[in-house]
Amino acid sequence: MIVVNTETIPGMRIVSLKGMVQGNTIRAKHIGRDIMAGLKNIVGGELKGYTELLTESRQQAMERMLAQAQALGANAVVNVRFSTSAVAQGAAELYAYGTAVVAEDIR
Amino acid sequence: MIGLVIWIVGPVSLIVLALITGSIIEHQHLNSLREREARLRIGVTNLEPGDLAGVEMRAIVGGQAVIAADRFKVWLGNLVSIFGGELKTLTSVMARARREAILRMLQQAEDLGADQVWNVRLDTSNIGKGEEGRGRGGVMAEIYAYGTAIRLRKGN
Repeated sequence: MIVVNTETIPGMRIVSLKGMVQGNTIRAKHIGRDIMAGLKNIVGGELKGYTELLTESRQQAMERMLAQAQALGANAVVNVRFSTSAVAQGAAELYAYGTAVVAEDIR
Repeated sequence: MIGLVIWIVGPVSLIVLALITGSIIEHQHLNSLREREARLRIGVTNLEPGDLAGVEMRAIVGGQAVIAADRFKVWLGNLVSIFGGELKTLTSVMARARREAILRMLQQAEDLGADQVWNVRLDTSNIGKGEEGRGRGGVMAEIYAYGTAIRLRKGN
C-alpha cells in the first residue's frame, strides 16, 4: 500500500477514487509514565514515554485507515492528514484520514 | 515559624532546581539539534510536488516529540502573563520540540533512502492540560511533523 500526504502520487497516475478512509484510537497513559511526566514537568525535557505512546497510537490509527482502504480495493491512500486532541485528562485521540485510490505507474 | 520557612523554601528550591536542570537539558538539546541538523542531506519543503519525473519511491514519513517546560520556565511564564507580552521561555520550548519532530521525520526519510520530503505538515497538541487548563499537567506539548518522502531514480 502506497501512503502519501500529497494530493497526487509522484510518478503515478490515479485511475479511480474509492472514497475517504479513516482510523482513530484513544489511548491513555499508564501511571508509571504519569509519575515520570510529573518529574519532567519540574526539570524539563522530553517525555520519551509519551513520545513512544503517541507513536504507537498514531501507527494504530493509520493501520485502521489502511484496513479500510484495503477493504475498498485501493492500492494507495493520498492526501493523508493527522489530527490529535486531548479528549480527557491523560488520554489523547489520534485520528488519521485520507482518500483511498487506485493508482498505476506512469510508463 | 518553621512551617513558614518550609512553605517558602520548598517551592523556591524547586524553582531553583528547575532553573538549573532546565538550562542544562535545554543546552544539551540545542547542541544535539545543531549537530544532527548539520549532518542531514535532504531537501524539505511544504509545497506539493506536482509532476515530478523519475520518482522511484514515495512514502509517508513522520516524527514526533513531546516536550515539557521546566517549572522555572512555567513560573516565569505565569509571571509575564500578569503583565502581558511574549512568554520567551515557553516560545523556545515549543521551537525546540518542533525542530526535534522535523528532525526525526527527516531521519526516517533518510533511513528509507529518500532525497526529498514534500508537503510537510505540523500538528501541535497540548496534552498536558489538566483541570482548569493548568494544574499538575504543567506545560507539555506534542508536535507531530509529517510529509511525503521521495527518492528519485539515479541519473535523473
